[in-house]
Amino acid sequence: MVAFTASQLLPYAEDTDRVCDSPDILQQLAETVEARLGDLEDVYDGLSLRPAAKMYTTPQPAKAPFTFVSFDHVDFDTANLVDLNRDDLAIVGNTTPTFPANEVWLHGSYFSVTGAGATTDLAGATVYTTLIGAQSAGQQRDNASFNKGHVVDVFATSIQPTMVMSITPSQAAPAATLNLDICEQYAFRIGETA
Amino acid sequence: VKATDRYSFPFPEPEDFGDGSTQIAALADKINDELQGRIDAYNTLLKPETYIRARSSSINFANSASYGSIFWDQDVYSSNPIFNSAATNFLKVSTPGIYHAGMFAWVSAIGATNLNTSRQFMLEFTDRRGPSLADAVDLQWEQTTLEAATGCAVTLYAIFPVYTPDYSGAGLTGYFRHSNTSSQMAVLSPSCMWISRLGDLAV
Repeated sequence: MVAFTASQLLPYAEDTDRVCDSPDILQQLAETVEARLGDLEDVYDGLSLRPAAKMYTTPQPAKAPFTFVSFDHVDFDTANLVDLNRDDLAIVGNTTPTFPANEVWLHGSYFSVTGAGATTDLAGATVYTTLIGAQSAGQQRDNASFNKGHVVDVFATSIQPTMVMSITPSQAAPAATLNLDICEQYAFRIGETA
Repeated sequence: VKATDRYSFPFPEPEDFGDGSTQIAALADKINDELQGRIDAYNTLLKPETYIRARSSSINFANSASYGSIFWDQDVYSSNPIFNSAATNFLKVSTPGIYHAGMFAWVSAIGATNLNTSRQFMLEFTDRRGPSLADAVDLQWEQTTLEAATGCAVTLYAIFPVYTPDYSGAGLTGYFRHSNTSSQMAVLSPSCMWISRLGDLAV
């Protein structure tokens, strides 16, 4: 009668097992250990090849106030989080058997904008960047003609996160138009929630 | 003796039941080797390549339209004590992958301040994304603030892939410049710069 270890259910022979049953029991043990190690390898792959992606724009004129920033390049994408043909706004978190749900993500952005006209267009203005993930929102301000900044946000979610970025000058006029010199949006999965 | 498909764990065939102790030893040895490999891999994952450098004392910058690199004179943490052990103005990494990096910079005028003059900070990572030197790229992230009368501090943060860490010019550098004409500006302790590996690049 084969017995099993408590948590991983690895088979082993008991005193009452016949000697001639040993090959079968060893085969079961070898195959069960192999399956458990395969599970461990899947977990390792999910941690070492962390789902992460970054999108960026080439310089482009755009009118303010912006709603969402559209991107035309993908710098890296380890887990098919971005599909520019389907959606050029968002990084969409995926789920795997290793990380089925209830995840913690970092979502961030970097922007550099200038006034489309004279640089004084932006004098006194504040540029806001908002990140929208499952439950996140943040903002960053900068000033005058030096409109560069970062926003970084960490959030926990129980649904598939869709992460986008918007950018808006606080001054409606005359800074009604901005050029996006550089915009980056990135995200990576930190891990699971408890 | 037969073996499992994925990891080649040995097990006896049905008619081969007379040598149980040897069969168990062979299986145990193979499992031991595979487990040790997993443990080593997880230990590597738990200790990502990370370097943190800081200023132990202030360092002055004259008014300039050009960026000057910040010299980091203090090793706060190094995951590889042999690598990046010397104090320099940049940090190198040894393994391709996805990294995140940042700089906290705290500056103050050592003398008179000029109101509404700029203090500009830049984080730069140089990498080579192809086979030739012409494929070298400087990835840059900047932040600017305008001085009122007191010092100011910024934090820069970036995520990026590193493809060619062994390229001689590859590394992370922090820069500062300002337009305060009446005095030099000091980058103060404990300003710092760091880089840490997040994971692998997709194959």
